[in-house]
Amino acid sequence: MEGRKMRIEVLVAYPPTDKCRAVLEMAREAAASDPRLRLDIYESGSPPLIKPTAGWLKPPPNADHAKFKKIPSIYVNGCPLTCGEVPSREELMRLIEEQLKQEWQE
Amino acid sequence: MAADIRLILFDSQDPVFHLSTLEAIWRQVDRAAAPETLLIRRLIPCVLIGGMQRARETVDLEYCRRQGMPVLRRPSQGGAVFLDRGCLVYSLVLSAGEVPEANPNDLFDRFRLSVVEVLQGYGISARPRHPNDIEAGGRKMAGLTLTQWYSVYSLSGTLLVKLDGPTLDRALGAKVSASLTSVEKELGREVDQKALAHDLARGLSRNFSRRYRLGDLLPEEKETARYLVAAKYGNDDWNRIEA
Repeated sequence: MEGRKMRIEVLVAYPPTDKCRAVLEMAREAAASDPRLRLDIYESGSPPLIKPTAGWLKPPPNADHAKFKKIPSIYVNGCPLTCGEVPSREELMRLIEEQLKQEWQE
Repeated sequence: MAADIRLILFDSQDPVFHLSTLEAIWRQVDRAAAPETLLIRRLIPCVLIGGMQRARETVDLEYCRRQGMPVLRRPSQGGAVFLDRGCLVYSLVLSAGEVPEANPNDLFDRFRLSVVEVLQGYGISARPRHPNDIEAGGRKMAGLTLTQWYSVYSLSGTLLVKLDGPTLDRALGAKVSASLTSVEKELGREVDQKALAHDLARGLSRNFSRRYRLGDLLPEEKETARYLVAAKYGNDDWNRIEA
């Protein structure tokens, strides 16, 4: 599957807060750790410049309301890894590893 | 028992400052540098487009320009809204630590129920409409939204008290007002908006089991709001209205 990349999608505030910067640093580090990963960063309230995954466009877990977004949100392969909280570096890497072990979607 | 919620009332607020103020409160509450807050305000006539929208596809920009009506991008999703002094805008900013049972759906339902009960207390047959609205007689009277900003839940809504249908339709370039109603239209009389704002505060206080007291922005919040005016909401790069 040459050319396919598993997407890490990160939603942060604009302008970024200190917590946003921490999330972005971790996400960049994770994306750089494996050539199969691609990082897409979205700023809250700003139209994405690229098409998000279908999973990212759905309401977050435990939310019925279409207008609900959690900041920050990190999705890998269209699956929510963390929403509304800053994960630890170890937790983020572990969750990404788990996703990498699974088959991923386009 | 949790601390009182600060109630802040603003009238005739500039929409740039309106958006900046709310986000400044989020940022400071998240840092535990400001109290949880209920912010109720009226704005000068303006259009706020949804975060994912293109203004030229949903707003009559030429009409708004002629009227001197600001068109801005808000951070939340959804459609474009016309706001003026006939509309109460209310936001409840809560710290997640103070609502440990916080399920977003429960918070949202409690928030909406608070508004519905206040309207019913006025004699209006208001009821929730899935997913994000309140209606009366089959027409939308209020819209609501929920944002989680790190450790902060922000529940916001708009309530049509007096509807200026012709201006709304011109600004949005569509016959939208026919699907809307207002408090005054349902009651057939004028309503004291300040009294209604306090009734909303009481209703939210009751449903969230929290007392409230009048307050004002802290100096740090005003400073953050000024920063956000310059860096975001008053900035063409953020609003991209002509894009």
